[in-house]
Amino acid sequence: MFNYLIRRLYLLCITSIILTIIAFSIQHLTVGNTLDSNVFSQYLDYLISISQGELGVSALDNQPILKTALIAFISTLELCFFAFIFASIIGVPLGILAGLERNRGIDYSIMSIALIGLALPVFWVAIIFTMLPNLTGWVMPIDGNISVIYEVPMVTGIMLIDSLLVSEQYQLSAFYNHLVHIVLPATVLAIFLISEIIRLTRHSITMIMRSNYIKAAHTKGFSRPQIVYRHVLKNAIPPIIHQLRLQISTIISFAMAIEIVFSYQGAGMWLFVSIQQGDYLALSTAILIISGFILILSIIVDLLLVLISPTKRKVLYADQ
Amino acid sequence: MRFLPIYFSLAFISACYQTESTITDTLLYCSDKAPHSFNPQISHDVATLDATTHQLYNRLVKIDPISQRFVSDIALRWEVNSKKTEYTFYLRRDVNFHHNDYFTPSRQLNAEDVIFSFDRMLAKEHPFHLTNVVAETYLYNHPFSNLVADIVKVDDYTIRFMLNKSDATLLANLAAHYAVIHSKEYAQLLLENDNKAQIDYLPIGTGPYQFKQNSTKRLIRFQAHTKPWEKPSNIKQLIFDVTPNSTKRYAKLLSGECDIITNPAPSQVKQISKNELFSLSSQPTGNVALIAFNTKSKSLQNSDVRHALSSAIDRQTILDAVYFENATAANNLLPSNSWAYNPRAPLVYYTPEHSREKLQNGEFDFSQTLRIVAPIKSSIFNPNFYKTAELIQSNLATIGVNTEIIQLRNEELNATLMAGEYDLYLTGISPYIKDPDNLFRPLFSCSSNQIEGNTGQWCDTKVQALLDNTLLETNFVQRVKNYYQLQEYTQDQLIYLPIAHLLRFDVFNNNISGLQMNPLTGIDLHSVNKVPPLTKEQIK
Amino acid sequence: MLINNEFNEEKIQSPQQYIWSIFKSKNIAVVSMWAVVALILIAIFCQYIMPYPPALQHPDMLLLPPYWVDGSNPAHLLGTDDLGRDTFSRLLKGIQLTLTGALLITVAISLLGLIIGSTAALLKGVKASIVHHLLDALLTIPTLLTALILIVLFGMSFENSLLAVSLSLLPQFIRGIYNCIETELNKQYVVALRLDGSTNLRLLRYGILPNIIEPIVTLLNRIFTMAVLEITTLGFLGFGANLEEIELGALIAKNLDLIYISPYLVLFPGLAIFMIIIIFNIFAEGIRHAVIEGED
Repeated sequence: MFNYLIRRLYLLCITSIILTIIAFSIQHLTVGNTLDSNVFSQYLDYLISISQGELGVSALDNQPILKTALIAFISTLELCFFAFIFASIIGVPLGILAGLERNRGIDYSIMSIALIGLALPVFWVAIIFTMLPNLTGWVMPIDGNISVIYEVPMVTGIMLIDSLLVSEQYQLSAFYNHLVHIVLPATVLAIFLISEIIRLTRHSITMIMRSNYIKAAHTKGFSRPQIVYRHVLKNAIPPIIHQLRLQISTIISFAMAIEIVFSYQGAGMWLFVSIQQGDYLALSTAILIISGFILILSIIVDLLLVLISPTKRKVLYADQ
Repeated sequence: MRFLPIYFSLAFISACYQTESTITDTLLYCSDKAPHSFNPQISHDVATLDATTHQLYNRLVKIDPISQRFVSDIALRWEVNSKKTEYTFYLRRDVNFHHNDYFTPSRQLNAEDVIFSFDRMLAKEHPFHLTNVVAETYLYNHPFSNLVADIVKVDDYTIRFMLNKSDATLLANLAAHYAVIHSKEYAQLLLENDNKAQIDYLPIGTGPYQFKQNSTKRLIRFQAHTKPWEKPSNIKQLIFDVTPNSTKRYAKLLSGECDIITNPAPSQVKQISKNELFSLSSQPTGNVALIAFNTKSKSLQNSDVRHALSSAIDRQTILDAVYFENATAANNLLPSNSWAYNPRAPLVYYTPEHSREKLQNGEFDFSQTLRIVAPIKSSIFNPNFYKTAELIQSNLATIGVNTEIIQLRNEELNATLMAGEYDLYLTGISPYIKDPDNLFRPLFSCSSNQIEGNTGQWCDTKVQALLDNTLLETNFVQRVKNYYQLQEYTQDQLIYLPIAHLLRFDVFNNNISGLQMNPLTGIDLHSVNKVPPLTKEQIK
Repeated sequence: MLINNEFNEEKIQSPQQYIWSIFKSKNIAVVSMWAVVALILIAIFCQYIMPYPPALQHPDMLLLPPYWVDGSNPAHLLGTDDLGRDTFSRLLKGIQLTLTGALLITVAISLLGLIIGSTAALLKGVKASIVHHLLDALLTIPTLLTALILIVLFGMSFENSLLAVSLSLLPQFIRGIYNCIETELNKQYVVALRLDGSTNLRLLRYGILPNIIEPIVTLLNRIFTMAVLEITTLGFLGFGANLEEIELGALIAKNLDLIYISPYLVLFPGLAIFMIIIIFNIFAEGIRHAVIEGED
């Protein structure tokens, strides 16, 4: 176990060094430092300032850029979180159904839904969703992450918690308002996620239904629902998580595009505004934050998978 | 079946959600641009005026929107001597300045504050004279500098304006947006803290709303004046939400996230006027959309060429396609209801068939490519510069003139203008008071540069003399004559081709009332009243 | 599949022919193939199909609706925009630009990715480790962010947005190829080939590649889908095609102002993007199924 942990941490270190090099070069190329000292010592200075959490000051509002970026990125994560929950609730059952009924009518119709969800350009769906109040009269907020009438001071940077902290002033209405603001953008993101989850679940279920231990269970005379609940589901989840982990960067990409349409104050909106107004320091900061997050998250997911899934546990003992 | 709980929870969320329009003590005003500063003395853009003039400040006198007469504001009453060279104002004694977390006033408004506010504009040695003012343009103190000789404090609540010559426009100037009254006490505090710039960004005034917060230029919060001296406003929290995208603004009005939106896209106006949930207000402004010909450009030096190009441009289609008929066609720079409007000034007609001939006679070089420069962002002058440029491009292509469209952001645009690297420039002019000089001077004066408005790069002694003489001329008939002459001459030279006289549109929810629009000084939200939203049945 | 018929007189088909015959037997796959062909033909012969030049203005026919709505003009099938330009022609032009871009990206990525991916997979030691970690690092940068960075570095133009999208998708493809080859390399037939003394190139060409066609088709399909989505997203955000170029995403952004007065102008380009992706996905799925069945 300890060896495995060390090995993962070693990988983490190397990858993060590569990331800082990329971020440094981008900052070098876009913001353009003066070339007084050589590039190597500049890079060392850069590393030191990263370790101190000082990434510089935004040219737009003279605030430390790291804080702005983190608050924005956390909002993006909130959005992704809700979309993920929403998509799992819908996508996993549909995927299981499709996997169990493979190559039958119900499978084809579920897979058509998945294909449609993948083919719809997210920004376009987002536009259509912002038109909902006009088209249907169903009034939902379409702008920002909380109504501007609530003044929510940033204490933790996580809007879900911050909006609860002001409950003395607004009761729960600020928190509730924040939730309602997430509904539409999260639904748009969920449309893409649902089709991904359906595809992955179906594939995973199919693979497991073909495996020998399921056949063995069949011959033992277990009923189908019993097999599905006892054996299939438990074994189907780890590969899905593993595949989804590889897609986090795509999901964040889509979330950023959706944010821009909904003016949701997340990383995408922040980057978009910064680039439009010529604050290129945002680029290298975004790389450090977003990629750093994805890197750490994937290692945590790896570790969790190893812990929960017996088949992966062998890596703990293997030398390689 | 297992998804039913989700649908129920979704239905629950949407059923319980109440839009901001149900909260009657909060007003959401969605504008298209952020104000440059919070002082209309130094910033004259519409967004600044809307956010400040009537909301944060008061003036000595104001114009009653209905009777169009001067009524008292901070000045309780005023007297004029028989020669009309001395105006004496008696101030109210109960006017409180704003009291908030960055300033606590120790006294009420008195004559010192009034003199301070005007001295800042007039006196060159005043410590705040150049604060936050990039370059001293004629706009900053022009209306007063020629007019006011001195401002005298008679006692703590009486001041006297001494004029150079008899003048009837002083009251109009004092009711204009730049005549707002600041707090001298606050200014002195800032001076001691060596933080002069703050005066225009964390403002203190006497108006019905006081400044609370301006976060990242997207959201400006005001709250009701804590010790109002006028009738307290019904709105306790006023929020300016800057939403540059017009589609988004209208969508937010529909979703209840805005109570009032300004500047709807012309393409939306028709649909909005059909929607009984909203009211549409339209106001004529003095703003004119223009095409400027760079008269310093080699190919456009000849006025015949400018005439030929102008008569090839189909301005009616521009009005239809860009403004969706929500602007008035302009033949002249001045609107036809202006007293100086010259109905006999030469007009330009759409006759593309003659244009090519004229150009050939004028030995125009058809191989060159003319540069049409336009800002990248839409402005009050033009909802879609690119579309306008495309129309002009296709018009000019039919007479064989090649053009390229160059869209630029602010800094690049200013650099290009100053370098004169353009042939045609899509722009406009917005006068600040109803005086023709305010329109003509930026466009034609030698002392006005391209950024200040003279994008035609025009400078000749005849026009300059006309401008300067008319400003000092007291005889009204002579002034009219001079402006007639000026219009005839400039229309003949055709330095600017006017496209449209623009209207200002504001849309508001039907549960809002008491809104006052003033085309020159901005919107007045003091007496706005908000009730719970009406349903469609109630409206019928 | 076992051949039970001892008197089989049919010729034994080559694998390609066999896969093709399976593909042909599926109606939906064949339909999608013809649709793909049609789309590519549209892209190539766009100039001749368009009823009007896409920039031609008809000042007397502004904002016409499509032909099935009242007030339309049969001369403009899908109506006109706010400058009286023919929506159908602009849509075709947009499909041409977007599709060509996405196909170019897919071809470029598949060539580059195959070379880099297989080299990386066959390499051992430090070099492989460097490639591995670099890929790991690149994969953590969201594609939209990569594209934004490259556009800031190289400036805004349609070509640069294509370059940006390809560079942001390349690591994904390399990673996919790398993983496929890696799995194959551990299989016994590869070991057998190795023991026979085949070179790496021969191993790749005759051993591995024929066995990873199915995952490659899936990967390419995914790259193509993402390429279309990202080109249009960049165009929509105003970082891709400039104003004169008609790209589907940029077309949506340009017409967004008109959504309340003529929603078709926003709906049609979105549907076009949707159709392109659907058609290519069904086509790829058809191929994949045929390959899988052919292998069984």
